[in-house]
Amino acid sequence: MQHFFESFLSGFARARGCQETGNLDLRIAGRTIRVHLSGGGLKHLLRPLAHLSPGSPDPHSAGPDLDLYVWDGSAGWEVPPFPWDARQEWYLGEIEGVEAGGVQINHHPPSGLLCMRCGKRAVYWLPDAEKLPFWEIASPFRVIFHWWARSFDAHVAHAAVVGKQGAGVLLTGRSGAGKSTMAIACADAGMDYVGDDYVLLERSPRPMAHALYNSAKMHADFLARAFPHWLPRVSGSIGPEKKSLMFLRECMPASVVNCLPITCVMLPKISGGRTAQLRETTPIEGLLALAPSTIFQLPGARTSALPFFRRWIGDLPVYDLLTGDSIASGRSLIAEFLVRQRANCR
Amino acid sequence: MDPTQYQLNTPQVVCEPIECDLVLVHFESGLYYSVRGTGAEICTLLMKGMPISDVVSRLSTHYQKANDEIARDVRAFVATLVEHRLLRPGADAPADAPAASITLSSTGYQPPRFEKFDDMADQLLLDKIEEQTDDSAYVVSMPIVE
Repeated sequence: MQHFFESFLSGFARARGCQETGNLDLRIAGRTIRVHLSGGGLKHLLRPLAHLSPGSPDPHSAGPDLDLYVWDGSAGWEVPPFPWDARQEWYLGEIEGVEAGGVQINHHPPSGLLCMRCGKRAVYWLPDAEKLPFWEIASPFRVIFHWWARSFDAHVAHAAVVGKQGAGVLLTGRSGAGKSTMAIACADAGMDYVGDDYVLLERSPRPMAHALYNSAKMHADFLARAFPHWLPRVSGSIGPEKKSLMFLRECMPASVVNCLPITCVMLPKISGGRTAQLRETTPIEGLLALAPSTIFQLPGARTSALPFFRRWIGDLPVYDLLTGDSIASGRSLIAEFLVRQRANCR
Repeated sequence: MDPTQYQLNTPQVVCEPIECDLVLVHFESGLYYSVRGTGAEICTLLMKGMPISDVVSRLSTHYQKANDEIARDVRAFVATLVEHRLLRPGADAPADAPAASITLSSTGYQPPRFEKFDDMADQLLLDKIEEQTDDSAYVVSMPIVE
């Protein structure tokens, strides 16, 4: 497997020799990922990550914590045969029985997208950039970020995080519960926005959430109804549901923050009633809201998500956020909660 | 002969205790479960390698209930867990704390049950690659702004 991994690095070197190339450093959780990009077909994948870039690579730094090589088949490199067969391919691109040699592998057969990581190097390659799975456009390199995060006891999570006055809340729940809506509503009100779909969680020294993507997605008709002034911010539509895609770093840069300490977990729930309410609930409800959706959408999280999130939730209070019939009411409740938390800490 | 021991149906199922409850996720079906109270106690004792007859005796003694009543509830519950492919017959007790050291709840006996959640099952449809015939999942209509 090591040989297979190294052959892809050779393939990248060959592609770099005949294509436009570029490097971009990303700062995540105080660490650096250096993205090496060859060819223009996947350049747009850097857009959701642009807020993480401190600028040009620092030639005097100690070096990145991860080198990520990104390219596609347009360079015409001959791909070596895969050292596994189709019967070993499992759900979410996991491949059974190929963990020898310390190489992590994930493969998505319909697109051919191949992700690999070995130590401090990772590969992201697919035969045809036009066939990139739509979920990679707003949240690229997710599986690689997950593997990398596990190396320092952090974890990618399917959740939204917003904040105010230097503290944040983690919003999690089933699809359609209102995480993204509430995150966008908070950003719209000038609150801090860490992410609306995926964030990176760390436990120590205290529960922290780090930004991964500045992209935000919402159903087009709902966006038009609830946030019509956001329509000019839409960059395009993606996926079978044609969700509107926006990049907050481009349209609301002041709202985007790269990390926040988390004070509680909130589970948005659409409810009746005119005003939003918080109702304390149990840690198991927080775990049920956070872990399964991460497990089913993040390749490789099958065995790591439950124990990590159980420890991460730890002693954090968990609340149902009953949103009532007004997004603004829910948003105000979050803001008031954070202001009260800060006042209590003084 | 009925199996005497049961284990978690790995690798398809993952399980995590939280406080006195359990969360189970079935990776292949897309279903996930919460098991609380007596149900969590039964699962925990079984996963620690305790034979089902001993689980019955343990609960019967702790909750001061007739052995027959507990046996009926436990066996029906376990059968349901097996039907949902959460447990399977067999013995694969981990090497950590022995089952005897597990403390049971101080609240009254409630028949074991679990909650099943199926809202994520559709997510796995996206991964049914052999059934994917429509390329719309990969359609991007997006002006790439440099």
